[in-house]
Amino acid sequence: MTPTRLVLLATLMLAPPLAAQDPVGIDFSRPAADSSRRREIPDSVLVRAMAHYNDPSTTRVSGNVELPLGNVWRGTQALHRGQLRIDGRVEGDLLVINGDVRITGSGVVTGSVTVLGGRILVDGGGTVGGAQVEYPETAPLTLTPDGRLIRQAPRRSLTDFTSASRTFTWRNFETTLRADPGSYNRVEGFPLEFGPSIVWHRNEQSRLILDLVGIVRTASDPTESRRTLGWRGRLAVMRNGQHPMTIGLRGGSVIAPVADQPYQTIESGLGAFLLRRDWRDWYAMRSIGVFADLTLRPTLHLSAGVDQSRERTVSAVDAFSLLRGNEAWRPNPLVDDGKYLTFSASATLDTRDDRRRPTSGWYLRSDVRYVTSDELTPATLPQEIRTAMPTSNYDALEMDLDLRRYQRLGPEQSLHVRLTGGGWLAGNRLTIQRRRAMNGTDPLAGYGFRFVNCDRRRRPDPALPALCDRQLAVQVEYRRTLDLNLSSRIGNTTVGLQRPDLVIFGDAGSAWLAGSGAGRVPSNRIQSIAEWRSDIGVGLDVGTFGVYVAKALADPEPIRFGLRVTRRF
Amino acid sequence: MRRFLALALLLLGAVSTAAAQRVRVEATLENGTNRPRVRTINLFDDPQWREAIASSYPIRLNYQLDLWRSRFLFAENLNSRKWAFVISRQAVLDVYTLTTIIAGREPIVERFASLNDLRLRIEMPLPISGVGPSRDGTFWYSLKLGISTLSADEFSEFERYLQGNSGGGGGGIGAALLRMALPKESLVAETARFTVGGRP
Repeated sequence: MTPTRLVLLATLMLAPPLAAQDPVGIDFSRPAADSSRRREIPDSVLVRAMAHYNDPSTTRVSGNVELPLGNVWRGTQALHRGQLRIDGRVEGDLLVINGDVRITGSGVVTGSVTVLGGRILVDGGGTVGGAQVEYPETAPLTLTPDGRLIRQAPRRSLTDFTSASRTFTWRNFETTLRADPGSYNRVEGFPLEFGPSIVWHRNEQSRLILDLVGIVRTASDPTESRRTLGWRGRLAVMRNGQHPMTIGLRGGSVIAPVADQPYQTIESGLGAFLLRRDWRDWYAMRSIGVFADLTLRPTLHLSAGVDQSRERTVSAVDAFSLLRGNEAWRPNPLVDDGKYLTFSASATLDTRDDRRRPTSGWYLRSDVRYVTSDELTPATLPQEIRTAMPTSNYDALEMDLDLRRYQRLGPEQSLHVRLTGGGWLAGNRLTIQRRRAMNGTDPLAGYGFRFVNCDRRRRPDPALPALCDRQLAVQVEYRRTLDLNLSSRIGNTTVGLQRPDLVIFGDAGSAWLAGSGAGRVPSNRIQSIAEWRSDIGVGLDVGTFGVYVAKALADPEPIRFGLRVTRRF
Repeated sequence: MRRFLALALLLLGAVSTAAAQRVRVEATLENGTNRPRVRTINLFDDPQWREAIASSYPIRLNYQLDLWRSRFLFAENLNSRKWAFVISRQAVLDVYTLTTIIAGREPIVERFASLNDLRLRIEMPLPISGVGPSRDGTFWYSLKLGISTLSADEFSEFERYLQGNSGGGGGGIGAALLRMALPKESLVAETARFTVGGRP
């Protein structure tokens, strides 16, 4: 290192040029800061700033402005949104709203300098005659069309981009009006959802939330198996603290998906809207219940609920789709109509490093449900699929499990393993809406939709209902980031492939009927591995979507190509 | 023959000059300790990044430091720490800023009057604490650095985040900035292996 660099380095370390707040180095052993302790701009300061800005005698500017050496501004000066560089002289006070000011060595401000939502930089030799007031936090102020400075309503968060919303604040009440297109399907079309969410911030520790959502279904139902309008709502008390907790009431009249749910919600909606392929089945549910959520640790979340619901069959309608408009929709299967009381509990452990693109950590989710009914009208199924169902005194216990391990093998490669399954545990047999299947594409990419659905009738139902008692699958994938950049920048948008992940995967899984008798697997066992279906495949995941090709190992299935807009798992 | 030699030397020189201008990253252990140090070199010697910052395009550097333990079949990833630097230039003020983003922490903003001051800060070895092993074995650190530019929208969000308007240290754009972006340039480095305790 040259002497000049050494001197520069020493100067930097001893007296950094413009305020380096922390010593160089990163210490991960320090506890995380409490972000709620950010210093907010006091209301009195905001009021004073608005009064100064709106005063007719104030000179107002906006954007990036420089006052050159030798020039003089007289009186109170105010700048909104921008950067101000003072090389000259200001005879008066200076107010900057959501911007920075730098007073260089030749710069002079005879009065005070107030910066809200930015910083004051005064170089050596620069002069400020009065007080210097600085609040780096954004000032919640905005300009009206006629140039007056007023308070600004709170900003939408990034997650709100998928829906339209507007928030109003009055005292401790925050009201958000929201509209969301919902997930497209062959029963409702678009379930357009809209309504208010009202939050009452009682104090720093607790708040009361009322969510009300109205649902308008765009597809008409000539069979009148469901109404055009629906709703859902929630009234909850949230308590902050070391273990945040939420307790509340919930209810609604909605079209709900059955338990067998291949693909993510967005993929199911896109498949229905674009390709006339709705991968989910639906039933009408009117429900009311109570629930509680508890966050024991940031990675551990528990919840429980008791819900009473009335569930019944709905029909597929002639909903619009962009392609294959001449094809008929797959019928929506019958469900077991009835009035149910459901006790549910779930636990989620999530230590993943990144929820969107995880490369290390654990994810475990387990749900247990105990369902009872004294008013049940079961659909008729052959004995070889399901033994006779009671019309009262019905009870059944079921569970779902999703266990994943993300293991990094190197900076650019990782191994992911997932065990997923669910189904009947004890009691009466499951209702149709709670039964499972072994699905192609998700989780088994080499097979078709509901390849194993346990429909043993001589003439299987064209609705392809999931009729198995249990389902289990294992997925393994190896990911390696490829150093491949086939992209270009158009304005601020990057178009093309940037460092995609190569995915090499294998899946195995099955679904079966449990119990004694021919063709069933004893209740205390899982199906023999020899009878599981399996596939291998390869894919390219570019982040926003992935393309995959897979081949079933044992069955004479064709090679299957798949497009996913979410990660496989 | 002499002309070929001269040409070869010229080409070699050109190649070595080009290589010297590429941004590099180093991961080393502090003398006598197992504490990792990270160093980013030649960032502003690389024309694409120098031009980006000169044009007031903010640059994002996403770091991911992993602690690995040697195992029989494949190495075990014991922990993974991420942080990000956002470098920007405020053209009117002619000031360079370096913002350090760590999950759950307040962002740290440092300002520099010249690119040279910023370069010195960036190129200083950065000691990383609180990431060491808590058991015996043979370990090493691997470092991944992704460099990308922030779009205008991302930068607007980033500015709001800095000013406390986007959910604090852990959420919103702060968390988004800590995620590895789709980098224009990606670099990796590893420290030497070290042993803790008597038994590897």
